[in-house]
Amino acid sequence: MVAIEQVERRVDRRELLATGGKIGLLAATMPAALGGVKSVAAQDGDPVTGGTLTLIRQDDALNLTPGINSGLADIAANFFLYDALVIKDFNGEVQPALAESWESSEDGLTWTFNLRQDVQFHSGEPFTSAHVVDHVERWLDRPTSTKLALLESVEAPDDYTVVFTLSSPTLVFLNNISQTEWAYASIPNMNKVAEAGDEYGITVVDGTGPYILEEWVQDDHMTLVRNPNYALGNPVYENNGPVYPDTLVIRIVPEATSRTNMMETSEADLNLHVAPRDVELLSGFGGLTVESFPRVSSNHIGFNMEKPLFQDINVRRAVTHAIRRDEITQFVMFGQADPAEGYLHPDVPGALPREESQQYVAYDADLARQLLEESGWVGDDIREKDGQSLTFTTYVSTEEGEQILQVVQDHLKDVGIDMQISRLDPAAFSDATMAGEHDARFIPMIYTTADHMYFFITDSIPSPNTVFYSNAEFDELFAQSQTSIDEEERNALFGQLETHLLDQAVVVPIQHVRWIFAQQERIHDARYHNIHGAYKLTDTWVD
Amino acid sequence: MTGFIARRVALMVLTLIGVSILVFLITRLTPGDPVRQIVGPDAPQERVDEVRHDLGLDRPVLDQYLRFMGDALTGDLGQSLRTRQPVIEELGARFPLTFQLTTFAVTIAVLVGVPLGVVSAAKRDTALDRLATVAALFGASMPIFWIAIMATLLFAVRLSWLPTAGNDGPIWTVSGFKSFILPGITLALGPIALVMRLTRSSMLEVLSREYVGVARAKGLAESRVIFRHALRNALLPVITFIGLLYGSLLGGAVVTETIFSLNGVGRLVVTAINQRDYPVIQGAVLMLAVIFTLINFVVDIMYAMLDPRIRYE
Repeated sequence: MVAIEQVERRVDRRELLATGGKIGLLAATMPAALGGVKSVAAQDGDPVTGGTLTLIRQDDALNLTPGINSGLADIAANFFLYDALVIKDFNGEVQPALAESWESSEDGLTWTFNLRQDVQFHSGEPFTSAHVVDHVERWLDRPTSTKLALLESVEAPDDYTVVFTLSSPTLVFLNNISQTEWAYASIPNMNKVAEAGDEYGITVVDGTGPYILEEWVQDDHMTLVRNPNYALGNPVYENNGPVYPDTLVIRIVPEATSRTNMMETSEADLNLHVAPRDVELLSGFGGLTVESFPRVSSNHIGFNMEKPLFQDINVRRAVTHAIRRDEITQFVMFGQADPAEGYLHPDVPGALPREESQQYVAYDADLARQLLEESGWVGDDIREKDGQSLTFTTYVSTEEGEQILQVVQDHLKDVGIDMQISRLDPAAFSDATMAGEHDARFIPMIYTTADHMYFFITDSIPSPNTVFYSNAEFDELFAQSQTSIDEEERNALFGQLETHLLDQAVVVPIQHVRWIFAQQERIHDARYHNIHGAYKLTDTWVD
Repeated sequence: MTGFIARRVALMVLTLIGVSILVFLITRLTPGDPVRQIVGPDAPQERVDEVRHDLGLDRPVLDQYLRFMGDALTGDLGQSLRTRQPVIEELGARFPLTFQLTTFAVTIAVLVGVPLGVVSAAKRDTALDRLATVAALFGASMPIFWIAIMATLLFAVRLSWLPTAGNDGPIWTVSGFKSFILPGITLALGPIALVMRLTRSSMLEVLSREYVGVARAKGLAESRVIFRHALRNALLPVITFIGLLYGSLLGGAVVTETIFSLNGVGRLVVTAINQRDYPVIQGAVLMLAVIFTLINFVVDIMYAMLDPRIRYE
């Protein structure tokens, strides 16, 4: 466990908050990142070129065309294969990448990017503005592109200039384009995209990133080789040239125990999905380090506000106060999650100070019982009112979520609430919650900024607002947060939005999860990011 | 015999039509919209409708089914909604591994299960019989995931003899063979017990027949009685069972494939079900049904050939 403690000391939350606070704003739909995480084994001596770095993940990408879907596995692979116009550094600041400079018009509607002139695709073709325009236009035509409604047009006045025109001014633009999952964040070679058709992103990939795709056997492994011409040209990583390892192999190992075994046998160098239960075991092995650090996330239960039971705020508040969150993080998550003391992750700019937010979620079984009695729910065992039992069903789609709810179920029983759990597979869960069939639902929300609270505005009903919350005051506050071009004002608005959610007990915050990685001693200078995880690993080398 | 084969072929076709209708209806009756899986939960309704139209999912189910079957007859199983790749290619990429794994496991089950069953029957009620029975039942009773994890811990983690997970090539290469050993044995443990028990009971029945008594009375060596006269007849039900076993393992090795990170058909189907990837589910089930019925067909023919008394006419 020594390694974990070391990491926790290094990742000072206040420090993160401070750095995160400097960052700009994000799209209402897929906001940008905040702070990052310091490397754990930085400056391990002179880097050595060569060797193979083997990563293991639990799931594979679906398609390596940037923007075609926003799966975490796709994004993780695309960090290695592509670069963006701009990139977020480990402090959350936007830095140059494919664009060496940029400027916005005074009205905030026009953004002009000056591209680097020395960049080549993996195939050797030069990178020019035409590729950016082509890709953004293609992407806007895709089903998932609706979130970019703000973008009106993109043009290339010359080979190395790109001009984006927005329909309304926003501070979120720059942050959005640093996100690899966004079209104009990762630029593929337009000629290859056109030639390969549906094969692009599967058998053909041509980006400008630090690694070149050599082989991809879907759901099995991906083999990438060093891009000898790579130069990121920015200060995000210490190494701005080609990466050190000859080869990077990403192996897909769906079973957590198998991943742990592979670390023990040194068949893998870096496990990007360590199960919380295996942290202690892996930490006990010589030659291995386990890194556990905060991930911006908010696992929570959301009530279906259209159900009569949850139109009573006392019931919602009673549920919130009946849960012992530390028990969940200790016994279900083996200490590898942080009990929620508010809704937003404390590292997110705009999050309420915990001393303000914790009153809304503090465990207080007596208060919970009192609230229920005030509303007429009485009884020694499961409470009743007008002949009806105090019972509801919470939908969940993951095994971990189900385990968490089993503990919650026990806590609620203590105050006389009978919570049933219904686990559905992800597709059925999505359908059922959109249709409002649930009484409540549990989701492991992972996000990047407070802008994700669009999940609770009226316009987002039925999806992603699967709690069916509709409140004019909340909507108005959120609208203000999206049009404000003053960062401090926006953060204050986010604080008000969080207060609103907590005070109205629309959601029951449970915990904030963590990134948990395990790495071999032979891996050096691996730096991890609290939003992007392994990120590009361009400093990393192997013995 | 010709009539028999014709009837069997007709029955096969009917079975496949039935399977295709069932899988088609079940996928569409299961909650979970594939279009939402593609466009994401936040996409506006018009975009959802557009994609649904592009994929042909807005047509009547009967129309969708007829198109699917029409294409399937020409070898076109459609395109995966998830990866946009032809289903036939997705299956083609996964099937060889599942085929090798299943064949290996069935081979182990036969090579171990049949001799154990024969010895158990020949040495009925001896310590050897009981030991073989207990060992076989132990293997069959242990959950696959537990056996897999324990075997990995011992042979891969502690002894470092075999790889932990993944596939290192075809089974006929040294590294490939090593990567098949643990999953193959894990998958074979249950079937070994079943083959052993079936062989044993079948042998016991045959050994009590009069012709075996006659063979012994003629003074034939016991080994000759067992292997020449009894085993050949006792194997008939075992062969039928192995045929069914082979078919069911082809699509049912999901747990083994998952624990050992083997990229086979089972994992593909589970992922497809989770994503409501209709074409992949339909294609995979249809392919497995074809293989299953073909194996049954071959077993039936073998049955008739092995036992001349069987006259299907």
